[in-house]
Amino acid sequence: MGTADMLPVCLIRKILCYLSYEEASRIRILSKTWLLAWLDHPNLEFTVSSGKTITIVDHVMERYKNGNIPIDKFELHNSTKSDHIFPLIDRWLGIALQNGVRHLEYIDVELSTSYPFPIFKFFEANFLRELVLTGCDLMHVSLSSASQAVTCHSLRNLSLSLVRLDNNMLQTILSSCPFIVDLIIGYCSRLKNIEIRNLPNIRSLVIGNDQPVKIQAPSLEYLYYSSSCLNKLNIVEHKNLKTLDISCTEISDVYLNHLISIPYCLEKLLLANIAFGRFDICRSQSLKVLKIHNCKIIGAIDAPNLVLLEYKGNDIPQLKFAQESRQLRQSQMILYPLFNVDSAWFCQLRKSLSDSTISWSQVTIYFHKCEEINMRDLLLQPRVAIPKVDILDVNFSRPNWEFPTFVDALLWSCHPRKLNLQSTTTIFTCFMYRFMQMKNMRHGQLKEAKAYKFDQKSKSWHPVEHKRGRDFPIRTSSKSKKYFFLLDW
Amino acid sequence: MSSSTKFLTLKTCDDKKFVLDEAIAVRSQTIKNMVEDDCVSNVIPLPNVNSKTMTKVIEYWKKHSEEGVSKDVLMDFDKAFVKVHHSILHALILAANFLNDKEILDMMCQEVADRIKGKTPEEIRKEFDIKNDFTPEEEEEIRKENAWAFE
Repeated sequence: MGTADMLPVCLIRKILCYLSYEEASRIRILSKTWLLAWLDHPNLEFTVSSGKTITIVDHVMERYKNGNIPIDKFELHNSTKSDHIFPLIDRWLGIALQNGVRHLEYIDVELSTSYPFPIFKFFEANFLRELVLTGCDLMHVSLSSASQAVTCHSLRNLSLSLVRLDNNMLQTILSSCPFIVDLIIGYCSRLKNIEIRNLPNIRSLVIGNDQPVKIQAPSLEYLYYSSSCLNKLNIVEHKNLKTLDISCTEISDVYLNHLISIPYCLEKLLLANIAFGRFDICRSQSLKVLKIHNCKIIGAIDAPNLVLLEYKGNDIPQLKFAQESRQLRQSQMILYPLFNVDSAWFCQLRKSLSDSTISWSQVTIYFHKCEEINMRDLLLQPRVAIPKVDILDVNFSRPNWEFPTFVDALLWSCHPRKLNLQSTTTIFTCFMYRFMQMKNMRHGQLKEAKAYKFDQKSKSWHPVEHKRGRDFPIRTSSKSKKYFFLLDW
Repeated sequence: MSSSTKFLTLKTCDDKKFVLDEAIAVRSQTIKNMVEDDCVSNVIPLPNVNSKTMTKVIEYWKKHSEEGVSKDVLMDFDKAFVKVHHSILHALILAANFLNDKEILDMMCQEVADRIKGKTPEEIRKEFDIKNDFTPEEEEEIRKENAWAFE
């Protein structure tokens, strides 16, 4: 007993629902039962490009029409470059609608044609829950008096990206769907301004548009906003806002602090790509998570209840905390140095790590290029407090690093308790030798260093022993492996 | 209502008996309905489930009924729980379907789907012991009609 043959069709159908339509189609030749289960798969996902794929999709849709087979999800990726296919798309969408589609996605992959999507037909049917449109045209949809009065009670998620529509149309759509929970408006260039209001259930809003945006949505909990300048965003009411995710080139400090100080419950703040304008983060009692990605000038941060802090960028940050966050459990710095790292770079890193009032639990560095480092340059630096990094992750984009002073500079600037290394055997050996030498130095600070290697086969970590007088096995393998060192200072 | 019943006895098809706290057993919608309709006598027969499979189901129920278990612990438990031979996987799907336990059913179907992903039909047949009951002509026909899926 116990073969897949004994599963009835209804259960195989359930299994198929966890696979993409393509994958499900691929395996329908397993056996007759599997074929049977596939024949009425409720989630259809197609990509049409050539005449051949068009024929196949049409064939499948015809079968669903004739058999009246329920469709739950219909996803169409159109990568044809001509509008000859529009009547067929009309037909397929009509069948999907007829057969009760609840999740609908139309994506124009090439963005070269502009299919006039019959949006109000779907609103009238009143059972669509999710609608995702990318690169279609909503300007040429007739706004008859009847369609204006449509109210679609079922729609919860709406996403419009690179869609041709104007302010009037957007307002008509939004007033037709008062129960939207999740709304995405991305780069619809014809929109001259966006106004979001009268959506009492809206919880999540994503806006990427370079035009003025006005939001009046007291129920809103998540907001992502991306544009050239934060000042174009005008939020009137946002007392429930928990997460604010901003990606703007330009920011004004006063405006940002106005945004983050009003909500009583703002817990998560994500700031990205701010190249112009220095910003402080003023006293925010509620803020628990702060993530700063690729921002140039960061001022003082005053968030006494911070639990998680993340910095990611090319430059070493100079973060100043007004006070220690006692709740802080995780603080991670992720660096992608753009240029050669040299002595000055390591000095800056050490200063940054010891200067900020907080201690960093994890520092991750992706090294690209390195120069030979003169340790004397480092030791001539003015003394700062010894930084204490809990975990240091070291990654290399190129496999041929063999500077012992590099290891020294790394340890000098971070002083990690644990060092994770993802690299070739050669680099690992170089680190290991250096640790052994440092351990054996009479006045060295390093008391103990233990190395572990990840074994792919057993999926577990194993200690790497260093026997005196015997060399490490050096195999010329360029394959990257995972190691870690425990360092006792 | 037999609200005074604290323990239920479940009898599997191979005549093994399992005595179980009612509060745990009603994770099965089928058993819950029986309890609510008051058609529970002394022993609930489970004609479609064998004792080996029932032991696994009860192991899952008990873990997920424990108080104060963190999400991480449950996730690790689930991860280990689905790592079984495909015959047990299929027996569990059938059992979960009969017992009407959506949680176990969803998890097991997801696991089968995960094991299928990225494999060729031949590999899947071999792994899951699926007998190909198509004639070579039939198989060729199906392959042809949807050539796009193999491109």
